Amino acid sequence: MDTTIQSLWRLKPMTAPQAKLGDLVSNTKIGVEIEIENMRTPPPIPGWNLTHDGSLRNGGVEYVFSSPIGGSAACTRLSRLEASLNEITTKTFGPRTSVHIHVDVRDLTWEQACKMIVLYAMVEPYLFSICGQERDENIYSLSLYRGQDQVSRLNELIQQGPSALSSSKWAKYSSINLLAMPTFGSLEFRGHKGTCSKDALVNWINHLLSLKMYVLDESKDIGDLPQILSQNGHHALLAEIFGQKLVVANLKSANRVRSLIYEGVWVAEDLLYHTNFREADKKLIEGLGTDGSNQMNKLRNKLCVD
Amino acid sequence: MTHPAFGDMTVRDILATYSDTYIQLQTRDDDGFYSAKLLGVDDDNGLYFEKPNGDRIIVGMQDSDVKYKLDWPTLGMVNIRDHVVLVERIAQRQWKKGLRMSSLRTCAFDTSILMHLYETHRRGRPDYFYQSDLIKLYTPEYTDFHEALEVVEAGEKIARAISPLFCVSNRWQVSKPLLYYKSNAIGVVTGTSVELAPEVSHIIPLLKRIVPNGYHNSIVMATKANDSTAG
Repeated sequence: MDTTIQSLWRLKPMTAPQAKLGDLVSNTKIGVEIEIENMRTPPPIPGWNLTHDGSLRNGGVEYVFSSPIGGSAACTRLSRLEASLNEITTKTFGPRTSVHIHVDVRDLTWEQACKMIVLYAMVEPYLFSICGQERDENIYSLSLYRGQDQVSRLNELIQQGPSALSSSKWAKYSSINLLAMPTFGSLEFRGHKGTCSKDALVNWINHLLSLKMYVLDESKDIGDLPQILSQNGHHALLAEIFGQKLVVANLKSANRVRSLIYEGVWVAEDLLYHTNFREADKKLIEGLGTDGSNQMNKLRNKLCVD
Repeated sequence: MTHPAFGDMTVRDILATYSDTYIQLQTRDDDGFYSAKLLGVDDDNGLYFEKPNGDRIIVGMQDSDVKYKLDWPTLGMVNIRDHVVLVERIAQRQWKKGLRMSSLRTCAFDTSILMHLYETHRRGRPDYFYQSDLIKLYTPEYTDFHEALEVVEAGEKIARAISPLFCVSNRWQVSKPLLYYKSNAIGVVTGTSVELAPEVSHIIPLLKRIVPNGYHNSIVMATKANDSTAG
């Protein structure tokens, strides 16, 4: 199926990308939402809309990109936000605040979008190590590898296709929100802790953009990645996806999840091989037939003695 | 002012976030952490907990001798009485952060067998995972691989978990016990060995992490000829 996410949900066509990348690794358009507390008189900032969020306290507000934009123009907005908010000494980024990044996937097919989700799952422990390890159990952005129920739901979604994507099948309160796809044509990443630091945001956004770049690179295959991990270690795996430069800049985060990264790979393998699992289950049961009386008799004899 | 473990939370926040959920605590008199349900706060800002044995304790909210662990346990397969339950956490709109039943999705091995034994022999109860079983998630005990094969095959147990990801279980109307990876059967138990379905060969390295060295040849990969040992 070659239909793009844009045509699947009849979304607005993509406009021309920004010519200059600025500090970002690609010119894919992004949307940014930043939550802040203790903002009594939030200033207007060009390129950002100001909204209020019920989950925040004490004058909590949310700055949201006024429109999706990429490359250097997005960086300019991040710089403006940082400069404006640095002047507000009362602001706080408590545990309730977070940063949500929308990555435009309108140009991807459903299969490519699924690959990007699987790739995200594979490196999720590393990504949480960057964006705030303590947030992997956050009730507003529960990670796939800690929640696990979302992995079962993802398997069903991948099996059933895009028409099955609805709020009954997916919860917004996951670290990755698929429900932004039919609405905005984006994948929303909700894991990052609250911050207005441009450097931190650019670092995070570049990781997310790298996921999409990997999926678009036809010379690369997600299926090879588990083997890269087992043969060459976690640095090699992460460098293959994010590039050496980004991984070296986040070496501490990478080393913190040396063991945990395997959990991400197991989740990804669950998604990559979901058809194999189903087939194996079906074949095994069919092969054994339906006469379970022997085992049931054993269980009755052993467990139901008065 | 509350205990540092609760960060900048007020008493109201703590109640809204953790009441009626399980967290772990350790008081000065305890050897280690144990899980308890937070019931409420008394007038003197004492936190009321119910211990697993039903005892109730009150600890001062600012008592620095009390330690708390607010993280969830690792979920997955857990041995419950004679069966196994696969426990997963649901992402949902909520305020509660502690461990509680309504945030979990559970799948029993094997529900039909449990129901059948209950209906025909009034054995146990049809519910397979109770509120009181929640605390087992903090200290799960896994069965040795070969012991699991033996006791399940002999009918001494319906199922046994061997790790958070794998269990050996009988299945309703199936003649032999099966090895499960999460909710999918991936192999058939025959005697002291398991024959894995070839479709899931990628799982072998993961399985070998939990099966002791020296026993790896008891994991056999089924092929059309049924003649190869998992490498």
